[in-house]
Amino acid sequence: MAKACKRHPDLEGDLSYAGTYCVYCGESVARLEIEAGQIALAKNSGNKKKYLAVEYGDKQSIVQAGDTPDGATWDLRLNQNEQISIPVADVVNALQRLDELLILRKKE
Amino acid sequence: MESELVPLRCKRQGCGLDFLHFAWKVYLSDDSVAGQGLRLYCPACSQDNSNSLNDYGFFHHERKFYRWRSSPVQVSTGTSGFEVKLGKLNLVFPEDLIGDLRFSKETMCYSAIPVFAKKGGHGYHLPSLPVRREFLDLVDLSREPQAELVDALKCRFRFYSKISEDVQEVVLPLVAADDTRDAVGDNAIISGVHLLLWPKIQYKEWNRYFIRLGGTSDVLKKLDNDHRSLDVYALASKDADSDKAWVPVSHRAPDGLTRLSYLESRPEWIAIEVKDKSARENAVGGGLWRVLPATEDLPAHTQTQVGVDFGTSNTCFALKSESSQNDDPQLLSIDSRDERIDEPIIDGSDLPTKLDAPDLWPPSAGFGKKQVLVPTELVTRKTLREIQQNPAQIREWKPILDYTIPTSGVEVRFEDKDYTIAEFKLASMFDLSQGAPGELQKKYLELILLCVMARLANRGALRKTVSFTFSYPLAFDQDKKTNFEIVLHEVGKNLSNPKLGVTVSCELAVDEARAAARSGGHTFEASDNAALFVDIGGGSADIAFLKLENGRARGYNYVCSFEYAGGALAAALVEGKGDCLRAGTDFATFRRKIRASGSIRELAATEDLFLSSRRGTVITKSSYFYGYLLQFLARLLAAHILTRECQSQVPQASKEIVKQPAFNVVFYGFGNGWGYGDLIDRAGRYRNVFGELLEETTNSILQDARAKGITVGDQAASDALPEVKIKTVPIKEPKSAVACGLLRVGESSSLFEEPEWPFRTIVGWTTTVNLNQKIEWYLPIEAAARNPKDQQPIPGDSKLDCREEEWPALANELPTPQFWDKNLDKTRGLIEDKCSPKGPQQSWLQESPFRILLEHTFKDALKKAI
Repeated sequence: MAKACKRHPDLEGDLSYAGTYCVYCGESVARLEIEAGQIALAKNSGNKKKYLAVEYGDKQSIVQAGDTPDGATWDLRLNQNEQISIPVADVVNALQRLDELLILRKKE
Repeated sequence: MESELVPLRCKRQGCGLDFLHFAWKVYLSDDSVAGQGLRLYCPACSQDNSNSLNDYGFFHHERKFYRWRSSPVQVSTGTSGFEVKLGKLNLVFPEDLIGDLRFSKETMCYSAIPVFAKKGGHGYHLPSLPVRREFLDLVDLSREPQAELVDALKCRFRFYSKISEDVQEVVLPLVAADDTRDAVGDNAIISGVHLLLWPKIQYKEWNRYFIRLGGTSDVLKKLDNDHRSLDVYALASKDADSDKAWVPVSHRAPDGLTRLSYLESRPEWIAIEVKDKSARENAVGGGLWRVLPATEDLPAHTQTQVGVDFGTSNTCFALKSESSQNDDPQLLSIDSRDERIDEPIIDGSDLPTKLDAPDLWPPSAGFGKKQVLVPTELVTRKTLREIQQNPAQIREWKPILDYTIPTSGVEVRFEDKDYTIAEFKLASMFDLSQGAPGELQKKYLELILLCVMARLANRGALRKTVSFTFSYPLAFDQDKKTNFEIVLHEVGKNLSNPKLGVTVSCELAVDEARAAARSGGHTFEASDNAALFVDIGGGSADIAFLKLENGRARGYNYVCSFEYAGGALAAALVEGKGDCLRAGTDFATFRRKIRASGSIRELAATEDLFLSSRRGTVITKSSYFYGYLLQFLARLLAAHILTRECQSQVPQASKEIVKQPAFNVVFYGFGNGWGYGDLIDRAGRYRNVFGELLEETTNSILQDARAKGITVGDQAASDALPEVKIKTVPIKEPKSAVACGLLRVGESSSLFEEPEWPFRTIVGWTTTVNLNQKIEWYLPIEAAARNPKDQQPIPGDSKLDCREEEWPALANELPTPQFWDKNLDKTRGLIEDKCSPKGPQQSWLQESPFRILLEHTFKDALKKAI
């Protein structure tokens, strides 16, 4: 059963809630972190901690750091000191699908 | 199906999350409704999204969601409400957020259409739209809707909605005029109904509107009875602080059938709904009538100037032609035969002409031959007895909902005296503890000035800046004058619209006596020495005595005023012991009939108002009324001669004029109060008769002075006193003087020189002070109450008395004050109170004892059985 935030009703979905903000009120419910070279969605009241490895340019990459300057995009620094920006929505989508790997394509 | 749905995306730039990918069941609530539709926060970026569901065949309207019958999205019913599956997302709507899940263009429209016949059967009024008022904002109004009658049985409409590109065409049955029969033939068309918008104006700045739905009572009763209801709504702002909404036109007029509404904005649409009370909720017949928006701006290049004679009985308005400012001002006629001021949206019947109850619609026609007079009266919804129980309600009154102003051209078949408030210029019949006359004055002026502005706007003569100029009777004491100024200030403020740059000012310019004297058109001859203006209104008589030199005005010698006027005589003729009217005529009817016919003479020619047995009394009362006033005027003129003021105004080089045997006075009798003279002189020449009597009486007093060897100052009356000659000027429009004169305030002419004093009069009746000092009748009194040269000062709070035997004697037919009030027991206290000097700065009478005699002793006497 998916739970958004403590103040709002369950979402009754098939999957747990992978959002970082409550869909009802926008309150922050979980944080995205970098842990062991992967993206991690911190455990909240209804969810277990979820991990997402990153594949970039056909190779699995170690995520060294990440930052969200505008809240909608995530700037990631990867193991080869490469900088990429991805929409946070892609991360949330992947976590919601219970994907274990986030595949990022290099720009041509 | 899912693949066909367009994404429901987060609107934040750089995010774009598609909610349809999330397999959640989202429970919606009131908090989920915002802006364009559904509120969902983005789970990735927290953006507050308000999303339309139009792409899925839903629309959101007034906090409810509607699903078109043709929507591709299916709805199922669950335990928590209606479940709508959009992609993986499952939205759960509680019942109260759903308007209709099978909405169609038919649902959007009324179930039947009322069609109204035009007057005389010349066509029909169809609604502009068949759409229920709650769905009007779904209609694309940028594309003109079309309506037509099909076989006189149905209505076909074509219109566009904002939520569909296709033209919406509906064909709907008609509402039966009489619901006991089918809506076919004559019964399919409703006759005799009118829907009016007041005023008919195209200026965007105008923000006071009245709506009326009325008609013949039998038709209205068939639409509005135990089993059917008739409801009218206007889409407008009810007042300056509210947003536009459907405002019920639900205020029932006193006839119980007519609906009225007062709005502070121009309505955009009017809905008429007819509902069968036993039918299901949405089976409502109805239609929407469009009110075209105002499109013009009020011109700002000049200002509108209006002179207002706010009389005790009647009010009238003067204005100058904008194209020719040099022309004499003209009175504003209020004549709806020539100039209809309300806009018929449904023109199925006229306003009623036979009234069984007060009709609160704004007056459509003035009184008098030229329809320039508006009664200074309020017609009320409630009876005066009901108002008396709670007079404070007057403060909350709204025009046309609670009161109006009487109109001419109607036959009154109810007891109008029970619903008419009159004579509030000088006093109030209600006790509001403070400012009662002021409240009534305010209500009256707000409505009548609005009516005048509407009429001017209709003629294209209204400007953004409007100035109403008023006068005041000198009979007003300082409190009344101050209160009136406050009233005028508030009326101007209430009629102004600063947001739209409309400024209305109402100001007191001058007293009524001098306003009348300015009225213009006076041409004096070189031999004329003075002009006497006597304006007898309903509540006050205002007198101005103007000195002339070589045919030119040289300022005023006397300006004074009494609350002794036509209304007092009218009341004396119809009320109290001396009632002279035939049975069945009361005071209100009497006043209305005089107004309607234009004059007593006109009325007397068509109707015998008075009991034949009281004919003598009518003449006697009228003669007394004018007789006492004449006595004062004769004394005023005689005092002017006797005190040699007439010499002091003449330059030394021209003193030859005074040595001439005649002192020529041009006499103007303004005001409708002169009309009662027709009761004495049926030929309608009473002003001339009065002028002749005035001349005779003045000269008689001067002759007495000569015979008695009276000495004033260092001159004896036996020295050549000129004989007074009165020349009476014919007056075409007696009521026009004050209003027209007010428009000449500020014009550069010696006629308008302002004396510093607010009034100057004479003692009038020789008065003794503390039994030992005699104040002669011919001595002057000014507002400052300073004793004239060579006169002993009068101590404050002196005992004053007017003795019966004092010279000059009243004319033979006029009883003395002591005849009416033995020893002046009732009046003397008033004389002492009003006339004695007050305070250290005063050493002379502060008011004329003759004024007290006129306003109390003689006025009361008129009511006594004569």
